Amino acid sequence: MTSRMRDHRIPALLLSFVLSAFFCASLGAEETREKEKKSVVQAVVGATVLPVSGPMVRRGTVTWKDGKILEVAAELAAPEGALVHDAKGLYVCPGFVAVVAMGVGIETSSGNIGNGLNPWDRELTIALANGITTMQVLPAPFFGGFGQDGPLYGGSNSAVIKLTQGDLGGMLVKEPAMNYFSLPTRQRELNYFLLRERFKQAKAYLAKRAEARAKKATPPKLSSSLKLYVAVLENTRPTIFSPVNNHEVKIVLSLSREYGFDAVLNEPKDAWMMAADLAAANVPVLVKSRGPDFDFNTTGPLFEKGQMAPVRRPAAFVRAGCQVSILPYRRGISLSGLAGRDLATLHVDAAFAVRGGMSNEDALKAITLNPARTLRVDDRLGSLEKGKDADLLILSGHPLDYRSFVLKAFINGKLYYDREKSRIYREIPLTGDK
Amino acid sequence: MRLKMYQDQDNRERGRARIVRLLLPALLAFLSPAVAADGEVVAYRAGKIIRSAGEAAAAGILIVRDGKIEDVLAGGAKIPEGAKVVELPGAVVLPGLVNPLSGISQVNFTSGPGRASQSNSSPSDGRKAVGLSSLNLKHEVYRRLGRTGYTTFAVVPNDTRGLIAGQASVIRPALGKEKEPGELVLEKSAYLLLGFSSGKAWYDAGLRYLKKAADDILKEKAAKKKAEEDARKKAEEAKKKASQPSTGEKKPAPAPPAAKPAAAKPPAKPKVPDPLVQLFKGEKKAFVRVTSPAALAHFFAFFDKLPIKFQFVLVTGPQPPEIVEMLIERRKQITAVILEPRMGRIPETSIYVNTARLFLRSGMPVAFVPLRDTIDGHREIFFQLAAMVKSGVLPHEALAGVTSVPADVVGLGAKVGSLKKGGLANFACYDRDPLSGTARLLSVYVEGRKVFEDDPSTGKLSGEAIR
Repeated sequence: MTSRMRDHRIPALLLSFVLSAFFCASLGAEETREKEKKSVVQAVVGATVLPVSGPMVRRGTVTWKDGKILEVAAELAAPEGALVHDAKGLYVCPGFVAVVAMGVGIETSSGNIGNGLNPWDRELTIALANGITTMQVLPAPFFGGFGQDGPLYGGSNSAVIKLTQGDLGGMLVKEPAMNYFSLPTRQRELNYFLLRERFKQAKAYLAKRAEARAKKATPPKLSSSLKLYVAVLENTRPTIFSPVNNHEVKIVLSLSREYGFDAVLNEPKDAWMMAADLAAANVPVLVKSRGPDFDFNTTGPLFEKGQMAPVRRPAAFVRAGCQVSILPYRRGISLSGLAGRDLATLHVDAAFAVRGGMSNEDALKAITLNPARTLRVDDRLGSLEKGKDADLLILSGHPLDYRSFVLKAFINGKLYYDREKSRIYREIPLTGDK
Repeated sequence: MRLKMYQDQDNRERGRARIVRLLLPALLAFLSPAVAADGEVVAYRAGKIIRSAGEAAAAGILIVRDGKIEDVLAGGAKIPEGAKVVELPGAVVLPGLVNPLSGISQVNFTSGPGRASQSNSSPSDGRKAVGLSSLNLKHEVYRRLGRTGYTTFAVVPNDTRGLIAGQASVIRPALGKEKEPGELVLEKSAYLLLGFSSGKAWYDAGLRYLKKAADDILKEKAAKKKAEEDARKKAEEAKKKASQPSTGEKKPAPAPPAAKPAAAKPPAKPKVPDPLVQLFKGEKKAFVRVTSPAALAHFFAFFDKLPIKFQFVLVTGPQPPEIVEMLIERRKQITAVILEPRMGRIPETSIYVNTARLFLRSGMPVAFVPLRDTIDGHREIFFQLAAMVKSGVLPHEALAGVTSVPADVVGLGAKVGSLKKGGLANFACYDRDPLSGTARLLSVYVEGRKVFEDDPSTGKLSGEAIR
């Protein structure tokens, strides 16, 4: 696909055509726009629907109104007066959810993300064109350009956003999305020891606060260094950990059990060996299906047991019953370096997991419903069900096929991406099965 | 030895040059009608005069008295008797150019205003700062302003990075005799400059400053209304009481004085009017500088939440068509746009787009500021405008963008920006169409006084203002 994209560099002559077409493009869309404004029922008809929460629906119809899904059914005629999108021979699935994305859709790298959102971000457009409608976004790390491969930076803010391109209104879903810890990589044992001490203090504080509240007295003052730990114990949002070995995974599991908070494991490298424990503890994992196949940090029993190839790891977690979200090889979008290894190819990463032994359904789940659950937005997102947000994609083929393109992307029931009007993707010819 | 000889020679030459330099202004003053005596009428007869952007150039005579234009006559008209005639043969006379947003009086202000960034961390409140206060007459820059063809500058205060950057003062180039900066000033406070970028800091500050000002006004209004209502009720009650016992009509009269004390209290308070309050009351013009598309989105999201809206001039950079479209939908709030004369790019492509043209085609007035806020930057303005014309801006629009439009947006349309009766005699003479790449600036007049001359016969520029 990479070489194909390169071959189709837009010739100079076409550029002028693109320019002129751009200014005339708005004429035909008038009617559609008006219907969208009037909160008319919209329907996708005749598509192969992959609702994720249920089995595949052939010749299916999805209807929605005011941004919420009304119905998902087979052979259902669109209601009268509905704005119909004919999708015969095409696929429909929920918009992909990127569980962690860095530096996409935000302009400022510090402070409140909600106030620094950039709905005109170019990278946001590219992510949307590749089917991502929701993401948990973090500020891009200062060092290393697009080195999103590094550890997640601690103490940083994160937010769940929708990729409503050019529209600030519906962009922010929730902020903050998760608790992040800043743990230096050296002396990790000490870190976890300190962590436990802090949790003890936080628990004591919470007890004091509850006592004060019962007496209707003023609650004790909360020191700023303890704030994050209290937030973790309050468990209003999940807490993410990036353990480097199974010893640390065990510590995280015991902490989570002891203090009763929801932990999420980010790239637990060797945790496939104890996947059953993770499943029993109901701890979701974020894993890559591609990655370095040899890790110099591994020690101990791993050398005896051997390592599992990255492509097989997601499937191993799923077999054990874990809730798996697929991470792309890199967590940002880069327009330099190797193509096809970042957020823009999230669905290809899911396809890799299929290659490693996952089922199609599970792989699709791992980039839609599972990340939505992990981010605790599954009441609104992640699958095509009645009452959920109408965030859906019309694709030219199966979402896990590398040849498939997103033709249209709807967010909150509104069309935000149309391949026909995309300045990048419309130049690439569709090549499906013949 | 030899070296010393050369040095001596050098010194001698330098001495000679010094004498010439000292004498030259005196000579020029003697030879040229640079300074007209009080009440004297001067008639400038030019080959072509463009009275204002959009009008055809025609031969004409400018009648000037006391630095003001008394009349603009056709080429063949009779010159009033007693008038001193200055011939400007073959010159194209333009209204002096106007810069609506400049920091030229400041040190280290080299980037264009459209690109200047706001600091995210510390949005300052400079509502009381005035551009005038940052002028330093000792600096030669004020005397050199005239050699650019610009005769009017709206200068903003030194630190313009904050959310509320301060008030702009409109000045003219110095003639060299001024003792105080105030003498340059046409308008002390022309408008209030606000700058927005996205991010938490400005957002909070915006709430703190703008929303508070708007809320204060609303509260004040509500209080006033309540006071009035109370007074009316009292008056009505008094009326009723008065009408019941007798038909005497004099009785209701005491009621209004009862209302007056409530109204009389506020006049004791006002000291200096708060520019922000004035802004929301529509008494003060505002320039809002928002450069990035994201910041625009955030600014309008914030703006829509304000309980009172105000109209403003938008200062921005080159924008892609979709942003221009969004801005044009805001026509009610945006009265004009200030741009740098440069091209923008359509995102994800290498296609260049002329933002100014997009605005102009939809009827939005556009004023241009030079790319670099320096003397040289101002001298190059017509090169930059020619590039704009080449990519779709009409010549008269380009000309209006540096004369009448900026004059109007700073609120001095009656005085500067065009050559008309009663306006200031500020004009620049070019040797041909200024938008042609080869045009040469011949002379510049500020309030009827010549501040710059380029003698084509010798090719020597008068480096500074003629004193």
